[in-house]
Amino acid sequence: MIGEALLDATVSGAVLSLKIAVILVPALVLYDLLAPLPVFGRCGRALAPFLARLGMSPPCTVPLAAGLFLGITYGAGMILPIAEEKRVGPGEVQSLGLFLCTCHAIIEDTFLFAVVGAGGPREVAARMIILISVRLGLAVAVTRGRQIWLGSRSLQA
Amino acid sequence: MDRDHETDGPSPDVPDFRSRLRRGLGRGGHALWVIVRVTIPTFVVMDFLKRMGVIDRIGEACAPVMTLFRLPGEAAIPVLLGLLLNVFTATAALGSLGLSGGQVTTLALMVGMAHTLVIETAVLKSAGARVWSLLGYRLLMAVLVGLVASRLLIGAAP
Repeated sequence: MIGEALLDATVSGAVLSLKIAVILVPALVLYDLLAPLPVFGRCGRALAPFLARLGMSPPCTVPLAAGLFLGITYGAGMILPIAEEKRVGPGEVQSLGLFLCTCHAIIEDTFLFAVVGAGGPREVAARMIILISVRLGLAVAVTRGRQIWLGSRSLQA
Repeated sequence: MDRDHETDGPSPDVPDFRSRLRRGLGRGGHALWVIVRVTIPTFVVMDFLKRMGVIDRIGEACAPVMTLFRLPGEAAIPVLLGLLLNVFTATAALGSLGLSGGQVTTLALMVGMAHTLVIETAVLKSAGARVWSLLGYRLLMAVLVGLVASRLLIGAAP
């Protein structure tokens, strides 16, 4: 009786693990295959004016991308050396932190929650779109909002 | 033309295909190991707690808070696991509760906003961010997002 329950729970846990792994592992491999390509370096440079409006200078691009796609632990690992070399100021680190707090690890988090919920492919796809767009939208809005707030404060001072 | 060519050419920092593949497989393999290591024990423990009636009691205790988000009391379990441990554990617990699609999406947004607080806050602090405000912001945002998402994605309780 207890053995059967244990087996049942183990099997359902293993099935969920496999369902997650089948999507997540290829996605992570694909990220590492594609991310270092020069095309994405050019995208990063093209985004520079947009990032400046969010209070981040070009050296923030790499930690931002790493944090956004893989997670805060990876992203911050890349901010540390840049911050220590004083290539970015404390205000920029705060902007980066605010952005990444709101939206990070979008590959992992999105797939985990997409797979775990009930529903067919359409519902799963809808959930993924909602998760990514809400988090990304909030991150941009909040970080930009902070810049506007700081800008209006410095004008009054 | 020359300048264009220079910026478009492969930069010397791009590692070759095999080392990129190796790095990706390493990351993927690590994620797979974490998922299996976390999901199976979480399922077994959740099943055990369910049989002991513990999940029902936690659910009853947390119901007053979780109804604000139009969620059942047991949904507090993935939220707490997410805050204290990580998203993997939260999703594993979530998977064993059998919630509706809208409820899962609402929880995903809340847990997405605030999770792994101890580790991630320590990491941000070492990077030089002012972390107390970020921490407060994440918790507040998780509540706000949960309130809004539940109104949009989950039907009103009968």
